[in-house]
Amino acid sequence: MNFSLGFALTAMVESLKGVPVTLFLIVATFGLALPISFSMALARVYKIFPLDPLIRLYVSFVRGTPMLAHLFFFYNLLPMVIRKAMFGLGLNGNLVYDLNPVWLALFVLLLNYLTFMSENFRAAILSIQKDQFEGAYAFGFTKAQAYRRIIIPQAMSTALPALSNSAIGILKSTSVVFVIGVRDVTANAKQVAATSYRYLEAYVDILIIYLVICFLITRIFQLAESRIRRR
Amino acid sequence: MFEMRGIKKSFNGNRVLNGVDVTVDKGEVVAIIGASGSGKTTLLRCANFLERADEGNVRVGDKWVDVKKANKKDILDIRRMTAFVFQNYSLFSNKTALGNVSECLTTPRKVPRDEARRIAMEALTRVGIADKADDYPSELSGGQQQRVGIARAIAVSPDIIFLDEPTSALDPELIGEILLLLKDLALAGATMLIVTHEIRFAMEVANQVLFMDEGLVVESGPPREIFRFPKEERTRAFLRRFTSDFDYQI
Ligand SMILES: Nc1ncnc2c1ncn2[C@@H]1O[C@H](COP(=O)(O)OP(=O)(O)OP(=O)(O)O)[C@@H](O)[C@H]1O
Ligand SMILES: [Mg+2]
Repeated sequence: MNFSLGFALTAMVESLKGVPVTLFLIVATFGLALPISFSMALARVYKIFPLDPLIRLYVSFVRGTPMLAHLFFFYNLLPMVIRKAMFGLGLNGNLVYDLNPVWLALFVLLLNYLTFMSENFRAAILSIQKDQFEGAYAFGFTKAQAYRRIIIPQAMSTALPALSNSAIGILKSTSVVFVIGVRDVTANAKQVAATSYRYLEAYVDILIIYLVICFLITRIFQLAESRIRRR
Repeated sequence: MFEMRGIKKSFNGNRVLNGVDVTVDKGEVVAIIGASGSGKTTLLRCANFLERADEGNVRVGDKWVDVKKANKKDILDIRRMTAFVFQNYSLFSNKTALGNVSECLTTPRKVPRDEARRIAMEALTRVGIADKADDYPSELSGGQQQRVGIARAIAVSPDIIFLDEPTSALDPELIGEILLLLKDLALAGATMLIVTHEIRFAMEVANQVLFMDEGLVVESGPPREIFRFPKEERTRAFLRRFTSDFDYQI
């Protein structure tokens, strides 16, 4: 087996071109999931009907099925549905075929990581002692004020380690979105490998890239944890 | 002036308060004593609606509230006119000592930030822990945490402070200094309704003592009468359990 350092460099340059897409998917998924998953956690903690049973159903469905299957399923279903809906609204539905598959990837990643992150938040909210609410209520905080000033900041810092794991999970999951044609790190590496029949170098490259991004995510969360000091 | 009239409260059909009346005049200290489970904590929690009583009326200042009809605004009004010192402190763990006090001014009472900080610092100074202003509750001893709890209570200039066994979670050597602090507040004119097992403190500081048993105020009066010449057999039985071991010289 021969490993060509020269080709590894060429492949690296190509693979790196996928980094913005990969980073976009991580940041967008995580950023959108934060408020939505927190709201889902609240609906579950307070058993708000019918959100609570619906969310439970959704979580068990998504958890029990592979993301790859979601990607294929929605890749076939969503454009069709959106196209119909757009025509229904008098718009040109055919525009949907120009849609960048990255949006579909974002949708599926969100679908999956909302379940993990809402569970992260649910555990964090449940871990907050009753006395934190009562201390606030006794001094005339409204429920919203208590949440904004006392509960959410505490839930955030309690949930940070778990959220960090979810963010790394998102990173890893982005590596399969090439199956619907998203030009991420993995897609770029596969392409350059396929055109020259040299796979090993390209795959070593993507491992390095993922490792570095993973390290960066871990560092960011470490910094956040040391910033939000508590206990 | 603070009043509770005919307060009744059940938990799952289990009567805990059986029609309790309490009056605390401005500048007065009223101490509640009684056996474990007699409903002392529940009574205080009903006073500021941490627990909703089933029946009765609560009055703070000029505001009378029928507990059955109380809406969100009534409850917020009552809470913003009163303060609570908890047995387990219940400080906000994401806020510093100063933050714990100033937060209660800025968020619910809309006091401007700078003024809130100034008032909070004053309160911390008054309870003797100005030097710990930037420490988080986890970095403070129990006695220091309770001082922050008390600072929070005085900073909001309440009509009345409710205190639920403020010293019973503390190490014995710290109890005396907290009681001394409370005595100073009383002498400075604070209005307080305090649940306590510190008989000597009640004797020296309270204007009135209420003895509770099974959800009722069985006997009340000036401390010297209650402690020296209790009329009710239940009061006598309760007081016999207090030997001088439980008393702290202040
Ligand atoms: N949230 C609740 N749910 C059910 N029962 C409760 C609740 N809170 C209090 N009780 C019951 O009400 C009774 C009175 O409790 P409370 O805490 O008021 O007593 P206490 O006089 O403060 O006792 P202690 O001296 O031990 O603090 C007890 O029997 C208790 O079990
Ligand atoms: Mg109690």
